[in-house]
Amino acid sequence: METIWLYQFRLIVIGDSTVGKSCLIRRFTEGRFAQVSDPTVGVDFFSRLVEIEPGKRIKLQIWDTAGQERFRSITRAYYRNSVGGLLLFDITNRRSFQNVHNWLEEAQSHVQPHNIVFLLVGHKCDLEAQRQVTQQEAEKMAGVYGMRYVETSARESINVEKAFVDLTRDIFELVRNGDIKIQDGWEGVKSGFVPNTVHSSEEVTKGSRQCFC
Amino acid sequence: MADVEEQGRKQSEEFTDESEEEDSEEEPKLKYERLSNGVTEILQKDAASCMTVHDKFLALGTHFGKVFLLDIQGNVTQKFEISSVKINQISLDESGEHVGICSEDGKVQVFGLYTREGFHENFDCPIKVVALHPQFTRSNYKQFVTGGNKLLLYERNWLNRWKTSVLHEGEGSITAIQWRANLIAWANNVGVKIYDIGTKQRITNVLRDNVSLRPDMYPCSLCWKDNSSLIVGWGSSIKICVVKERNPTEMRDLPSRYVEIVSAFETEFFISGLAPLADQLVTLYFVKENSDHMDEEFRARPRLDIIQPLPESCEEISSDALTVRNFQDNECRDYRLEHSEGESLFYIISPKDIVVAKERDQDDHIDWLLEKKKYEEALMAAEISFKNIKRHDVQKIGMAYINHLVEKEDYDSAARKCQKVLGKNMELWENEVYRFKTIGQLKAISQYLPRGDLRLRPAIYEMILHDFLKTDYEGFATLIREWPGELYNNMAIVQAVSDHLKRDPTNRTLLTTLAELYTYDQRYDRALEIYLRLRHKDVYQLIHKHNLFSSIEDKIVLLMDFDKEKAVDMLLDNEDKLSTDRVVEELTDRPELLHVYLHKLFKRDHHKGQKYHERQIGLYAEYDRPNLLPFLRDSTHCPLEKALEVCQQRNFVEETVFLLSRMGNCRRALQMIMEELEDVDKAIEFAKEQDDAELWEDLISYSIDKPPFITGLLNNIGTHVDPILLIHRIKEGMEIPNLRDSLVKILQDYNLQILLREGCKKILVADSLSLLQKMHRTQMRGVRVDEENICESCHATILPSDMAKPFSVVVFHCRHMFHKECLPSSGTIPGVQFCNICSAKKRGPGSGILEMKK
Repeated sequence: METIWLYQFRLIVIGDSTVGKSCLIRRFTEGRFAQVSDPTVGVDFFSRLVEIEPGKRIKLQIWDTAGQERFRSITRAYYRNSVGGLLLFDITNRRSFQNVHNWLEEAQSHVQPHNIVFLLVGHKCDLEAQRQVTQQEAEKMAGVYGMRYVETSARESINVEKAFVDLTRDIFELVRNGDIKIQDGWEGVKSGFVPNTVHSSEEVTKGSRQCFC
Repeated sequence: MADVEEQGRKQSEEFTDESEEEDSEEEPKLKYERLSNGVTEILQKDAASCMTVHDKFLALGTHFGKVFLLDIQGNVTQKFEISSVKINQISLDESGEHVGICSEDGKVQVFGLYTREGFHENFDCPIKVVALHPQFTRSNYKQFVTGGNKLLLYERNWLNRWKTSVLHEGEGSITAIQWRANLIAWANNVGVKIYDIGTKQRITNVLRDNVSLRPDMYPCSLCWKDNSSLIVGWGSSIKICVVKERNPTEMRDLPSRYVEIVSAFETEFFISGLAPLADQLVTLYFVKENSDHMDEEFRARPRLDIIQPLPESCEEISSDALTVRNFQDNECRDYRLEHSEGESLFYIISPKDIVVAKERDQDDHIDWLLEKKKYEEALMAAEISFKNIKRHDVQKIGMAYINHLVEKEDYDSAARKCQKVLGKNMELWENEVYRFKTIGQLKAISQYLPRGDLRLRPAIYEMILHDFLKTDYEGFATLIREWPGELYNNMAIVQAVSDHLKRDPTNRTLLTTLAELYTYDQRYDRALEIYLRLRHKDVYQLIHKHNLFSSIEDKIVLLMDFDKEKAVDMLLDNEDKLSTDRVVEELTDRPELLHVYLHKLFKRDHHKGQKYHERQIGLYAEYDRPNLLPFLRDSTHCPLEKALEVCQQRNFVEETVFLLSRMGNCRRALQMIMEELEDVDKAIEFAKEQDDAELWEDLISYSIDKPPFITGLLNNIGTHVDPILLIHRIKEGMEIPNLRDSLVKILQDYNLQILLREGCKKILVADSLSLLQKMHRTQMRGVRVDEENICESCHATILPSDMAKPFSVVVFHCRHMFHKECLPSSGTIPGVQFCNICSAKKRGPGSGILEMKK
């Protein structure tokens, strides 16, 4: 029943209310653009498989969180179990860009002792005419925090795949290098069923053994 | 917000108020209690997301992915760390041994609470609901359903593997599932559907009403009222659906069951939860209110209502607004209402607070009544259900009531209540008496003090008596009269009364009371003395009751003087103790009293006082002439000569006339009537009484020259004497007043006589005729002759044993029967015979015979 995948990464998408988090996820997981959507309450999640190298599939579990301040307390629980995150701002809304800093800080404070790999996303790049944040500014900010920066548009389907795939690749590298370890009781990264053993990770062998039983 | 929590921490009902203050007179239907202990601790850091209620325990899920098993006081008994995020639903089977849990991150776990073995699955979407088969414990019911974006049924097959099947998908995420018996009801974004797992058929689809509301914000509430009634609450509409069996004739290829919506109505607020309560519904409402000053809506306190559903509307039975912690932060979907089927317990779950609503019991009812100062009703309620009340005590309520009445200064009612409330508790009684003393209201309680089986210490009664003696002689007297003497020390009270009498020696009330006290103390002489001094009526009773006749022998005149009637009655009633002779002797000097006594004696018995009858003639003549004549008439012992002498002396004509006639001197008597009384009517009356022709003759002779007498005679004598006798003797030329009328009357009387006789004759003839006819009829009638009859002559059966033989029998009308051959030869006149028996006994002729021949 389950598609075979190498790892499952849990990603979180954060950012101010109305920057387009849900639309971006929908575009990525369902391939469509929802013109009108209700604000997200609490948390919702979606998943999709991504093939980063031929034969190497990663399952992404993407958590869509409410951007509204009053749901912060609920979303906090979700940071801890995430390995990566897309930090969105709206390029037509300067305030959402200014808040990136706050979001980052909040995320860092809650994920300890784990680490979280962020990708900065400037969303709604199709609305070039209303742009309030320049690409340079954004790239500069991303550099300061050691993040990649991508500009996307869910409506025009620009860079949506790229944003998720890039983040997934980065995390995969870290996992492969052992910088991120799979741990019991942490759901950020899980190893899945593998057709042939590539890794020496105990978790993986265990998993494969179970599979052969 | 802080003060709300502060207020909430007080373990009381303060966090609920009636939503409508004005009818606070109406008693609430539910009582509320906050679930505390372990729960308080959990909710300080975490937040409740869902809860499931079992008879014996509670299972609480939190936003931080934990599931706690709690006892009903809220103490944690077990803890499961399921997930890092919100637990969406916990499902328990009926036994409470298996649990199904689902969480926001797509985890579903189904395991035995004691075995910990079970099923774990991770889904790629949040799972909002899971529901176990109610009989999950049984091996052939290892089934459960999960609801994510599709409704999945899991069944364990014989290899112990879980097999899945999709029951439904494609209408958005499943937000609610309720499994009852064979029916699984669920809600998705579009509506509510029911699946019959027995027939594997979907049997209904109840569409959502208000599609403008976001289904994730205003989720559907489902609950089964029984095995066939499902209650659906969504947004602000409630529908009650009943699953029914389809009539086989209409079956065709349709599912065998269908759903009928028996009730559908709109509610005032948004529904957060539902639970059945007998015929009614308990609804948890999420309330949004528009403030007057701001355009913005704000979240008000949720409300728990009891409503009576009607086909197209509902009736509000009660409504309470609940101040749950942090209610301002909650949305419609944050509230849950869970209920325990067994006990009518309703749990209101909100993220930071869990409140239990219970139906109010008799104790609570009494609480409320006491709070509203409805003591009378509280007392009544407690008395009626004294077996069921646990916290209250009838006596305590009663005491509270008494206190209340005392505070209201309604001392009399308070005292009256004492009787009922204090019952046989001596100590309470004494306390109460002392209290009434301190507030100066001993009078109020005095009449209610126990005086029967239960007795207080004499000191208590004496205290009250002293109190009365100081202020209220009348009240004192009443108490002495009402209280049995043994309640208090008689001597002490006598002493006290005497002291008071020294100050006021003529006080009637005190004297009477003292007499009563003496009486009680059996010092009758003293009592009698006082009574006589007071000329008190009770003296007779006293004498009678205590047999004091010997001591009143010399006081008869005194007694008679102040109430003749009573005295005489008493004397006569007790003749055996006080002889008539003795009384007469005593009264000789007072003839008028003697008369009264003797008169009464005579009235009672005409013979008893016979030796005084002679004396009585004079007494009657002197004091009571109207009764003289009746006396003379009734007494057989009075000497007539003596009486005549007295009457003639005094010229008592009537009495003399009576005596004369009694002595046989009727003519003299008549003469007296006519000459002295000149009363013709009386004379005629007298003549009628004596019915003596000579007397009539005298009367006529005497009257013949007195026309008014003649008129009187003519008017009256018609029926006694032949009026001709009189008329012949009337002298010619004499003028008689009203002669014509008198004559007419005589003729009329005569006529009447004739009519009467003629009438009698007619009646006589008619009677004779009807009797003759009757006799004739009777004689014509047949007479039964059977084998039991015998011949009166030979005493053998009248009928021969062989009925074939010819025989003849004679039966007379007197029912005597004879064989014809047993009769002597027929008489001289052929055909007419007489029954020998009857004619011998001279019973008249048993003539007219019936002859039977065969």
